[in-house]
Amino acid sequence: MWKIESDRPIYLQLVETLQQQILTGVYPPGGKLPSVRDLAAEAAVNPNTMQKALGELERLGLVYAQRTAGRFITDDRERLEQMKEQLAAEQVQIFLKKMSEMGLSRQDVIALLERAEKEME
Amino acid sequence: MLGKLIKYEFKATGRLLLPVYGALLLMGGVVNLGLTLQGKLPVLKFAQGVLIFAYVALMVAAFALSFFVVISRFYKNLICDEGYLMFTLPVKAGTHLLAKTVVSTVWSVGTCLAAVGSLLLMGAGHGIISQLPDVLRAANVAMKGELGMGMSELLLWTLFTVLVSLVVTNLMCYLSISIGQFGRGHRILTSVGAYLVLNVVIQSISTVALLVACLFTGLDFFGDVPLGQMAGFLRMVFALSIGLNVFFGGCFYAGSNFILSRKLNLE
Amino acid sequence: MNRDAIISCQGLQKRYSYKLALNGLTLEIPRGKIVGLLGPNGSGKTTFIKLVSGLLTPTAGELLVGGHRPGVESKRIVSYLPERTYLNDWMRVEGILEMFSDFYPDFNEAKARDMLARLGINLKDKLKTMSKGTKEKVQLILVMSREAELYLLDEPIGGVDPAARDYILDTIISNYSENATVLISTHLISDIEKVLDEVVFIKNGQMVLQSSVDDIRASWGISVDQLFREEFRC
Repeated sequence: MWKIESDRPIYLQLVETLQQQILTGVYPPGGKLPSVRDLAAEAAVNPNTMQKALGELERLGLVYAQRTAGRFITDDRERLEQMKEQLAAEQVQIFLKKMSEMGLSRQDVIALLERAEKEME
Repeated sequence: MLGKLIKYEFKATGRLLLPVYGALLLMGGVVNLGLTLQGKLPVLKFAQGVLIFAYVALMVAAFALSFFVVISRFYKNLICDEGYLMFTLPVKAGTHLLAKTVVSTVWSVGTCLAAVGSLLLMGAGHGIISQLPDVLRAANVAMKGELGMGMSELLLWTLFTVLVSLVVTNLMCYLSISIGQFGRGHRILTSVGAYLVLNVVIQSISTVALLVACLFTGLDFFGDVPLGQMAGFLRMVFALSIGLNVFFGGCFYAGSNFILSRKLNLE
Repeated sequence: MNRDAIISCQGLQKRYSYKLALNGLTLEIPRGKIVGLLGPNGSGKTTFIKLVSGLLTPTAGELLVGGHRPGVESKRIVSYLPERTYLNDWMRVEGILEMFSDFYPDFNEAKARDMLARLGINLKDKLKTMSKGTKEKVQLILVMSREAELYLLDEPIGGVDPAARDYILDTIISNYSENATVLISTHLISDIEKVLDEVVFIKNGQMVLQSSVDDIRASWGISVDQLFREEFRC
């Protein structure tokens, strides 16, 4: 879950992973996040770095802090949906770019997608 | 903090030395028993020699062991790996030295007391102890006549000299070990070397001091001391010996303190 | 010098008869961070740690730990874990707990007992009979159970199996306090990089680089481990 690559800043990767977990419902809307210390221990990273990542999540509006109670996921479901769509769109862009780099046409891509969907069932 | 250090010193060394004292006292009792039973069971007579031999060996071993325990404790606890813990405790290096000096002095005295106690145990019940005061008194008078100094005074001087020299020997070993840590990789060898050198130094100084003292008091160092002056001569020798030892002891202590405080370099 | 830094040195020098181990080291270690002290063998890492812990005296230069020159006051606030086992062999575990409580007012005995229990270490166990790995864990527990202002860990994960290494890193993370600094000296960087806030590179007794881990990754696009390998390529 916490796969951290060596060449990018750690806190950015933490932001991505947490974002993923929030959007996929691992941390449901309105729910409470574990403490910085617990998250840091789970990810085996420095608590300050985790703190920085959480700060970034606050800035993105995914998370808000309540002084003594801790950090909570936003229950603004619209915002979450928006973000999900945004991220999904980004992934699609990356995918399409890669496909076109390999020389596949629109038709090829659609056929590939249908075949893959069938295999998953 | 000093009290705490002393507590742990006693814990670490006592668990080795107290059994030795126990064995010594026990042996005294055993020899006593052997001598008592001898009268009833003549067969034990041949064992008497063996028993006495074993007892003497034990006595010597007790002193040797007591010395070894104290010295190796200093080396192991301060110069070896344990030193990494000791010297990072919030305590001055000098306090460590003081704690070990206090405890080693107590054990030096303790070993002497255990030896005496053991001897008394050996002689108990045979009327020796009750006769002791009379024997001492007689010896006292006799010696006073011959030497001009009573037995009790002589014993006191001897006791004091022995005690002081035991303490100073410990301090000399502490300094040797402290110097030894400079010889990286050959610490023990360097310590032994330092000990020998210190020994030569103090022997030389002592001899010179005695010569000078003789010059001052008009005594002929190389000739025989006339009986009339014997008491005075003895007193001078004892006093000089104790005085010099105290001086050396002070130097050794200061030297160890300096090295451990400023020049510590654990490997 | 900045009195808010937990360690502050200027032109720090340590000369042995056979070697100049530190040659004008100048740096500041801030409070509340986990800092890696990185450098090849012989770079002066251990000498620096020994100077900070008060086991060595500087030949020249200034060194302040928590605002004090290394001595009794600094030793009170520094918790040091050396590379070697420094425990009195003849003691039992409960004995060494008592000793730490006696000498360190900031020692949290309950915490130590809890951590020992979780490792299955019995208080009545004799230190003499323990394996090297277990003794190292006991030492780590003792050091981390103190509520110190500076933790000095000299090669805590060298020569240790992966499970033990994870345990050590986990202990460091969960014990983290924002009032304390943890200074870890090591040459095994990849294992420890994610846990560090900042790193200090030392070479030939001098500081070569001081930066946060993420800044290095952002600026150079490589991990600290990779940067280290390039910097100190023979």
